[in-house]
Amino acid sequence: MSSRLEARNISRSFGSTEVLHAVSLTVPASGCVALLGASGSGKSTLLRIIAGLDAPSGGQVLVDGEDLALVPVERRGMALVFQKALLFPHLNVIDNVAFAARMAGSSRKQARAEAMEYLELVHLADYAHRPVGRLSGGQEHRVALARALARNPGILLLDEPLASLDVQLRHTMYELIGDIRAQLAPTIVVVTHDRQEASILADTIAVLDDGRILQHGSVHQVHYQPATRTVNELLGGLNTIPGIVLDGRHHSVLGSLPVQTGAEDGPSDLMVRQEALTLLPTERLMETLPERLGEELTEGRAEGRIDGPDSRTVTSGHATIKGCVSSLTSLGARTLVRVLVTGGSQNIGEVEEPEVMITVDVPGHPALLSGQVITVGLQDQQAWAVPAE
Amino acid sequence: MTAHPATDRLLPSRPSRPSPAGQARGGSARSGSAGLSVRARPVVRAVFGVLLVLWILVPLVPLALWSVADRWQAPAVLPNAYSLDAFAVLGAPGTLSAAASSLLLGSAVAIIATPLGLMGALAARALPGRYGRAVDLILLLPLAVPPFALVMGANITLLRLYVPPFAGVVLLLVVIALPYTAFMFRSALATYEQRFEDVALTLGADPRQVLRHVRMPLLSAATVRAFFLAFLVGWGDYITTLLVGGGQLTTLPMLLGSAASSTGNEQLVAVLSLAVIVPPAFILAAVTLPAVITTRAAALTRKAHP
Amino acid sequence: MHHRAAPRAALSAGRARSVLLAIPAVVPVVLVIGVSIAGAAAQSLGLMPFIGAPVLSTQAWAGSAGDLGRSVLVSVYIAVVSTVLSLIVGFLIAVYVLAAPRMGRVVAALSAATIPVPHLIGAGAMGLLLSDSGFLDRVFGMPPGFPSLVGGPWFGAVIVEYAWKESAFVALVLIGSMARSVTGMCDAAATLGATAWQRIVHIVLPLSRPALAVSALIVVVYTFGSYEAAWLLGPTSPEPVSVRAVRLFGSVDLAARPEAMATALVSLAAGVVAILAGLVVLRGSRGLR
Repeated sequence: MSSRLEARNISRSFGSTEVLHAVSLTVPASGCVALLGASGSGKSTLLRIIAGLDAPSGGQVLVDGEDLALVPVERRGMALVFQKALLFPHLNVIDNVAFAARMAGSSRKQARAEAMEYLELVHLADYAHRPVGRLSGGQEHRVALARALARNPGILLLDEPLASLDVQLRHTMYELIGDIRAQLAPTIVVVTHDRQEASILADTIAVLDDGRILQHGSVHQVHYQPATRTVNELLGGLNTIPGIVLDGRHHSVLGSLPVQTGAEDGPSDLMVRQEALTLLPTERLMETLPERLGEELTEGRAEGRIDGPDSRTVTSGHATIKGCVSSLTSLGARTLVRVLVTGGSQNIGEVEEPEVMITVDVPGHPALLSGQVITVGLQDQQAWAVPAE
Repeated sequence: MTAHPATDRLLPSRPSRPSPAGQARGGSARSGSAGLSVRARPVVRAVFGVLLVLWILVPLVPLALWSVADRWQAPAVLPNAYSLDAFAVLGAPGTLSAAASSLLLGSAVAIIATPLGLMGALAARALPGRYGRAVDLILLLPLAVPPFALVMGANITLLRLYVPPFAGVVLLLVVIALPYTAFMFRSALATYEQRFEDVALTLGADPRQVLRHVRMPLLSAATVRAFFLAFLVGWGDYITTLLVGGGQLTTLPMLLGSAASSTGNEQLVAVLSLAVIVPPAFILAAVTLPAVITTRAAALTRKAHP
Repeated sequence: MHHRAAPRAALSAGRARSVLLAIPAVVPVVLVIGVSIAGAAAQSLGLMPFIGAPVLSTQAWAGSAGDLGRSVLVSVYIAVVSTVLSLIVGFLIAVYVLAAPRMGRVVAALSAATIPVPHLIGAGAMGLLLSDSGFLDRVFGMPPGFPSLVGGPWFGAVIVEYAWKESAFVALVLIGSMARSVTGMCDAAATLGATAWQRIVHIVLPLSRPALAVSALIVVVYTFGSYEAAWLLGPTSPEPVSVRAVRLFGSVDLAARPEAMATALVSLAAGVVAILAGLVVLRGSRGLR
């Protein structure tokens, strides 16, 4: 029942403004892709074009290889759930869910019987005969989801479906969508501006900015191996350090760090996620890595070798950076520590900035004082260089 | 809200504009006047409310009293004797046929002006910029034309084309009613959620089904309002029927007009007036009350089951 | 509409359909108003006589210009005074409805219930209420020197009837346009230290200005050309335009008909001018939106 979806070179202009520039996207059958972007990035327009509610200025939408250009919305076999639940106010809960079946010509009785199954799926069978005005926000969204699923769609399109719900309800909905994927396995495209939501729901994330897909990759890839600086920022990466790549190492205020194989030589930005950094207690560091890091620390320099995970222990896998604490921001259970790193004299290549602020995301609430000198550790293989834009 | 002018009068020493210091102190600065205003406020508000209710209802009181008055000599504040005799006129054949004519006229105007108003409003919304505004303006144009002037100018053409009086009156009243019906649909469409139709399409409804199962039900409230207003234009019309009908078309307002223009017909005027205003009032109540009750009920249930 | 492959073709097809949709509504309006103006103009100039041969004559215009001018002035007076009163009372009703929670609902319902009452009935009721031996006189006993309201020289009963009916209309428009926004704004103003009176003057009044302006326009044009109340409750002389036109129109003297038409045309022109002027003013003061 699920279909493979392909968007090929989709463009869309409104008057003289082009909101989508030759966007291509492939979603495998039963896969779930998140279109992640800020408002105005064109993600909802792309979704409307896939659904057939809007016509592209150029390009094609294909389902299982068939071009949909001449197929009207109602015969595309897709279902779209909007941010607003948009339950028909003149129908009660069960008749909303039964709408698709009624349109397809089923009798009222049969349509309702089928609808009941979907209401059970979203745990709202008891609410079948309520008017839709008497549902809570979370219930409305579950009914909207049931209504879309009852159409038995090969492709389910979700346009910011949970943005108006509070955090707790959203997590229940994530579980529900997970259940639905396990039971019905529809192909899903979900539009969202929330990277966490995209990560929870989707197999892969397509990052959309200014009408272009900047990167389409696994959740891990877009977070830890961003294609561009913008992707890093859109995914919440806080550390972008300018510098230069020479022979597989990135040189910057932070020192010389090994980066991914295949990184091109030349001016590059180093992307290090704040979650990949840790604070290292100096004493412990001295104990475990006395011979190599002691000298580096005295120079205020950072270095790490990234040869492969098997070549050393977890602790020794850290490259280290020394700096002083600038500020702390509590995230609740976690804390963002801003560390000012000042460059030394032994830079290789041209390092433009004499100092740089890096952010470390640590659990709990560390007892640190502003100005305190600390050591920051970098986990294995988490340095990622992207040619400067 | 309405209590404060009175509060200020009660407290002549209070500066009309609070000083910055007074504002800064907030609570304590207020507590002095609040003691009085809190007590005065409901009283002033209630008095004001009663005055407004009187303003609305008093003109209808003599109408109600006269309809049940048997004898009501000049200086007496209330009727000297009561009876329901005056209501007998409602059963008279002339009155019944006039009522039927009014009903027919109101229905004809509503049945024609409601769909035309919807079409005009849909067109005005769909047409781009200038054209849409032109349609809007044309549909509102009859508001600028005094009905008597419209009817007088058109009358001779209707006569020369041998348009039957009833049809002529309906035509003119449809034009007079169109601004109201079009406006009703225009404002309903302004808040209309287009994405309901998008949802229906993605759920497999074809455009005709969308029209039948989504658009029409969603516009039903506006349709009822538009129909009601257009019906009233025909039901209560006097001047158009007078000038075009030329005495051939007798409606309830025509009977009322001739009764009211001469003195000594107070009972008749009162009873005929009630005959004109009560049926639409019933329709209005029938149309609005269920909605009010459901929203109330919904609010109550929501409170009960949070 | 949405699902055509080529957006441009769909757009023009949609536009053609919209034009077709507009025709049944627009054509009768344009036709009736056009025919009415042409017919009135031709008849006022003697070109379309009820009986006999057409003869061009400006007699209907020149011969009674003074009377016609006086009628226009009377109608303008009635319209302006009634409109001002309607706006004031309508605004008070709206403020009360928005401010008083329970009683406001009652006032709103009563006020809305008078909307379906035709002016003819309103005029009849005002006659029973305000005439020399009417209900109010019986309850309060008017002082002897008090000018009679019904049939009096100042059109008192006519103006009260218009104010009664139209204030309900104004209140309805105001409540409809303000209900959502104004409560929150007033709460915000109150937390900023605005007294009830300041809230009315600085929040409610400015917010309701667009709705007041639009309803003023509609009320002024309506009361200018309305017939029933002016006819039933006004004096025999001076006459407002509507009463004069209807009297001349129904006159046994067929020569009076061109004068009736001239009166009708002048009223129509006044209505259009008032609306256009109002729209220009509304558009000019963009800040009102």
